[in-house]
Amino acid sequence: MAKKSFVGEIIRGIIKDNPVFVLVLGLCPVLAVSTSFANALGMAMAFTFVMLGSNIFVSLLRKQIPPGVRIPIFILIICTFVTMIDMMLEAFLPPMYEALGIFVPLIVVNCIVIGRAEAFANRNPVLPSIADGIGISIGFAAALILLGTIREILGTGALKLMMLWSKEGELGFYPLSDIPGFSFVPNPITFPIEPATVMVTPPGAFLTIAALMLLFKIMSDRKRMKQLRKEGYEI
Amino acid sequence: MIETPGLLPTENLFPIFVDAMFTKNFLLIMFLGLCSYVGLTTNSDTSKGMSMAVTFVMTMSAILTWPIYHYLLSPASIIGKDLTFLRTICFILIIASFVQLVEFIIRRFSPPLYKSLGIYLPLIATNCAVLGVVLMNIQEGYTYGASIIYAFAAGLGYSWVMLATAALREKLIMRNVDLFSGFIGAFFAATMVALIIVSYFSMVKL
Amino acid sequence: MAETKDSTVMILLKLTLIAAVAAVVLTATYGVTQEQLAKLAEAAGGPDKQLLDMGVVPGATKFKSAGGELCYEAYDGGDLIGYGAMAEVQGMQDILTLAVGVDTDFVVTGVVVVSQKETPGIGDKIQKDEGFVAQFAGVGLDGLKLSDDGGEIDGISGATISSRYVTDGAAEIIGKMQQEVS
Repeated sequence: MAKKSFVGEIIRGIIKDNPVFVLVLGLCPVLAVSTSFANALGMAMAFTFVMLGSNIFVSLLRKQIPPGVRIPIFILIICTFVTMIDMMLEAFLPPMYEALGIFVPLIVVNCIVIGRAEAFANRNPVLPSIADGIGISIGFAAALILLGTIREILGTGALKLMMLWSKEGELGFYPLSDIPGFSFVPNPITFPIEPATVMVTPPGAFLTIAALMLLFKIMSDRKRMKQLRKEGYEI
Repeated sequence: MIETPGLLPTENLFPIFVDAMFTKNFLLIMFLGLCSYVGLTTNSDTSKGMSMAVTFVMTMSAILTWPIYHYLLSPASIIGKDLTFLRTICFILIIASFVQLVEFIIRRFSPPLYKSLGIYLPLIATNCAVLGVVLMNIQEGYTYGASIIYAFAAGLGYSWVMLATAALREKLIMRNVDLFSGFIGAFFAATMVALIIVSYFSMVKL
Repeated sequence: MAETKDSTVMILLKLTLIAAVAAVVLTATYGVTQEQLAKLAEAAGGPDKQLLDMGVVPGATKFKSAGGELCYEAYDGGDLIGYGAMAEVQGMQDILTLAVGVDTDFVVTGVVVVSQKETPGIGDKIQKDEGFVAQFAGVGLDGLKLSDDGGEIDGISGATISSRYVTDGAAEIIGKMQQEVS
């Protein structure tokens, strides 16, 4: 693997190796909890915690992990972080714990996390592994939040921008407008469209991801055509 | 206080069965096991093998994990301590070791079976549909009997979607529908079928 | 990839070590979160305090267990003015938690959908549409059915099935309360 800068690793994780749209991995939580912006954000945060924790520890221990039993060890490490975030959500953010349900424990079997442990963190030092973790997490979060936002707007005709914040000592997801400095943001932001309830139901999730992937495919096809024409091919 | 659910099913089994097959279909409605859905529905032989393997492992995992949870981890168990936070780690270890064992046994004793089913087994240990079904069993508080039925029906629900999608994708390859080929077409097809299930079952009360 | 070839003993040792560290970390997290959960449970109070906070029996100042599993007696000072109960019933997608208040003649004084996991945008209107649960007040057990089924409650259009589960669930809870009290 070529030497890359810290920022370069992050950007690669977001665009070139985007876990959802490019690698088509870890779709289960993306489709299941992207019913609203807030749920998508909560899931993205839980995922980031596990992804970073797993990448850091696998990378730290990479010289000590016996190759023959590396997969069980990865699972053990990932599982520890997943159980931690699961317990912390239950205690400190009960509404989010309810909303995400079994998709938090299921991060254990998320192909992205274990895939990065095997393909990257097990072969690279800590710093690049952190960068990789951040990049992949942002890429995953971007896909999740994009889907959540589209589905919430089309499905309910409004968008509630929420943020993790501590208000009067109580941690929780509050509307962005409640946070000092953001009071100009309307809550909820309404759109002049007729809400199509189907978008927040399961078929809406498939429709949204199919449409987005089609869009990306058309875009990348166009780009490739342009490239080929530039190189002198007749198409 | 929390009580241990009984062994014999006291639930009405028909709604549980229909739920797992259709209304809460693992692939289409609950979004579990989508990695295999995207990756293995390229031809019907692979999806047939994978479907059989998943149904088998799901049912067996339900049989194995229910007693472990209710007799060892639950606060109402013989140990009497609340160890439920260890459920994820226990379940994944049980499933992974079981899968490994079965793979070893059939590779040793039945090479033809290994060819059709065994090569999919390693993929299953980290399939979220299998871990999902055992977690759902605990969350719903099913009795032992009902949890096995639920797992088996969930496997059947997984299978029919896999097979239908594989058939569709095989047909799509032969047509000149470049943009809709591959998993994009599969996702559009999934949209339609999920729509049918959701609309139909929101009319009837089971 | 690590190049070192480990002996079986070393592999076992390493596995045990990692598992031990994981166990310590998890136990520590468990301690912290259990404390917080206990605090949350205390803040929420028992069912009697929750029923009071939700105001399912208007005018009640205190709820006291009626001795059964479900039913709580509602007092205004020293007078028994009704009963309240909180219970889980079947919903369309999952379990619904309902809180129900009735007066001494078992006429509904208030119903609250405490928690639900119905389809977002469709079934969850049972919680978001305040007009729906407001209809329940003043209805006796006989009228506690959807108007489609010959009762007095109008279902939410587009969420009839979920509305039916709430209405039937409330009737089921009140039936159980009657049994417990008598």
